[in-house]
Amino acid sequence: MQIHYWIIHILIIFGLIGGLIFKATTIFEGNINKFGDRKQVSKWGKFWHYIGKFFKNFFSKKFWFIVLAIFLDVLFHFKLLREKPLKWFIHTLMFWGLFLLFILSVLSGLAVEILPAFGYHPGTSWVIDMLADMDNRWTALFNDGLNAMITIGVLLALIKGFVQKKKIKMFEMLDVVLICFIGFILVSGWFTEASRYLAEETPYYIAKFGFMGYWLSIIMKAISPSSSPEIWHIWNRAWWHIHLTTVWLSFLYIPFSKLSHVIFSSVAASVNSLEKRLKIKELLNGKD
Amino acid sequence: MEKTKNKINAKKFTISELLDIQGCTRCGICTDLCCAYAASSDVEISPAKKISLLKKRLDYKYSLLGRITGQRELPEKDLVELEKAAFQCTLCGRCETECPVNLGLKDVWISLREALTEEGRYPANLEMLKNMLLKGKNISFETNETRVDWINQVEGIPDDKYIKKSAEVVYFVGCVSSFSPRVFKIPRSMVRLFQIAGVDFALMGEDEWCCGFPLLGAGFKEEAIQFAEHNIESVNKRGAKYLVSSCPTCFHVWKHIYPEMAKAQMDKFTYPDPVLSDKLNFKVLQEVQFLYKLACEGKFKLGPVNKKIAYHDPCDLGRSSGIYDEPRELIKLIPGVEFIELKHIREDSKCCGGGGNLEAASPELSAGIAKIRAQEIIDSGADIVISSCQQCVRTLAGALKKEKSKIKAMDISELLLESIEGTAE
Repeated sequence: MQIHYWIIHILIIFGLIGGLIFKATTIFEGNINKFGDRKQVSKWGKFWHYIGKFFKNFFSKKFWFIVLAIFLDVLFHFKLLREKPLKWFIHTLMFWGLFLLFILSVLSGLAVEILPAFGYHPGTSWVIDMLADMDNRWTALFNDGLNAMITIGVLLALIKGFVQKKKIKMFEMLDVVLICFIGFILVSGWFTEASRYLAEETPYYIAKFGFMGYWLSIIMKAISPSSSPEIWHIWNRAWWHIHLTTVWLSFLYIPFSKLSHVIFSSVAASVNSLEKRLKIKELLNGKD
Repeated sequence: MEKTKNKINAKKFTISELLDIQGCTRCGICTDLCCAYAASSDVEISPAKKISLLKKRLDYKYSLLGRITGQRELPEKDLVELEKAAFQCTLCGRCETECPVNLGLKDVWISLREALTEEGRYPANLEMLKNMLLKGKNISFETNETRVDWINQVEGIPDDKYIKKSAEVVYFVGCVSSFSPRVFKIPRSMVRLFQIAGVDFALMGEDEWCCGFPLLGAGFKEEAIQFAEHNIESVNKRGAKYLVSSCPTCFHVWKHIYPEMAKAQMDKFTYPDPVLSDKLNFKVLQEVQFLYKLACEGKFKLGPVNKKIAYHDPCDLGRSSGIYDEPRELIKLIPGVEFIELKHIREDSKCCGGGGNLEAASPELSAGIAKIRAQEIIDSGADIVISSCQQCVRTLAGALKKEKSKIKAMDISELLLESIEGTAE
């Protein structure tokens, strides 16, 4: 990847962090104390107060409660599973799909861009070779499998959002924009993959593992059978840029979108779940 | 979006509450559980809609444009809806029981009321309630001197009417039981039970002020702290070992909110000038806990009550305080009782409609909620429904009567006394 991509990438990360900090400043408008803070405490003061509290809990017996809270209420949402299995299924498809795809992308990025700079040579590790090779069957299968998971999740969310019986309008503009972003990232990703297969004339026995891109490449080829690999290469670069730009824009949009709940809900769920579990423990121990 | 000044004050919320507001995923589970929504089918008062409007309003105020101009506000129609949603709620807390993110919604609703009250957006009835409380120190139109008038019907009361300067137990009667004739039976039964068990107890008379929850629930936090200060001092000076309350809300306030207020004021980081420095030098118990303790100690000789009895969990005793077993165990101690559980019990119990100042803000909605619970009681086939809350007894008795049901709604103290005195029909 060229240097200007890296610069944009880093700027986008800063933008994401900046957006989250901006949103967090609204949260830190509040009081520490339920019954009002008589003393003016700055936002930084409040921030460090909570950081201190976090580490105090982290290095205590409460650590295991934190782990339990993250496991049950943040990662697996057992309460949602119990109450609304369909919603849980949709959420699981989208959350785990995006989460694992993000991890896979970061690892692939490391394998392709970072590790060679540190003197890594292909053939040293099969795992890194696999991550670096987009045509590796496992990488392609995993990538497209996750894509398919997210797609099913998005489609089900859309259907459920528009068909639900309840009169309450739970489906808001923020959700639509978010689903459009995710959908566009997915679609542009398939087009990028499909045009690459066509540009590189990837044989079927390799391309079949990237099944979403492969099926699309068949359709694209049928629509424009006379296009040369060079033409497909141009399309590939165009789609890659569109895909990358959408990913970047969605990163900037995260703090202001419904996707911000990934961060805020996770923190809220962990904190509230920890408090609840500690309260139950106190009740069981007869301290209350 | 209107170009008017957005007056919502985020400082009325805690950091944890603001995090909860941002963390809401609008999954809608809370709406499925909301008693007010179930009774009204009005989506505008559902918890999901309420939090969504609140979040939007905060986001407008603290957006980049909002911070610069201060003029990003919801349309007036939405603001009216937010006010309606905030006050048409019993604060029963059922919305937070199944929240996948464990949001502390009840606290958010109380702070929302406080924020709206500061803007002058609250039902007119609550202004009257506030004035009554500040003037009379209770929620009735009566003066506080008449607080123990209910005791006049009890046989064998001493001249001091148990208003003593010191005792082992202070009985905190609560405003509704003190001033609402429909539930006078509750404090009267409690006094008889204390007499039978030989408990050294005291009433506080006019020294007993409202616990302050109606003020908190209406959004007047500062005023509620003054009430706490007075009440803690009054009980402490009597040197009591126990404070016993019949009202679960008073109990919840004494047990959880007063210590939280006091603890908050001891935090030098946020409170350099504590006004509430008194510690609670006594143990706080709800009537059901104290009566169960006395029953287990063999202080009562229980006679048979051959009835089918169901128990209704009061929100502030159950969900807010985690007391589910003692009342059930106490009822089961009575010979002849056939105990039945209602469909929705313990943490999942439905509200009676009597909480959160809803009767003052919207009596029809309160009655609608009570009707749903009354129907569940009728369907259970019980002869008597027991609760350990004067407000639940009052609202359920009214709703059962409206449904032309013969089921009696009673407080647990009344049932116990009937069992001891053999007066059960």
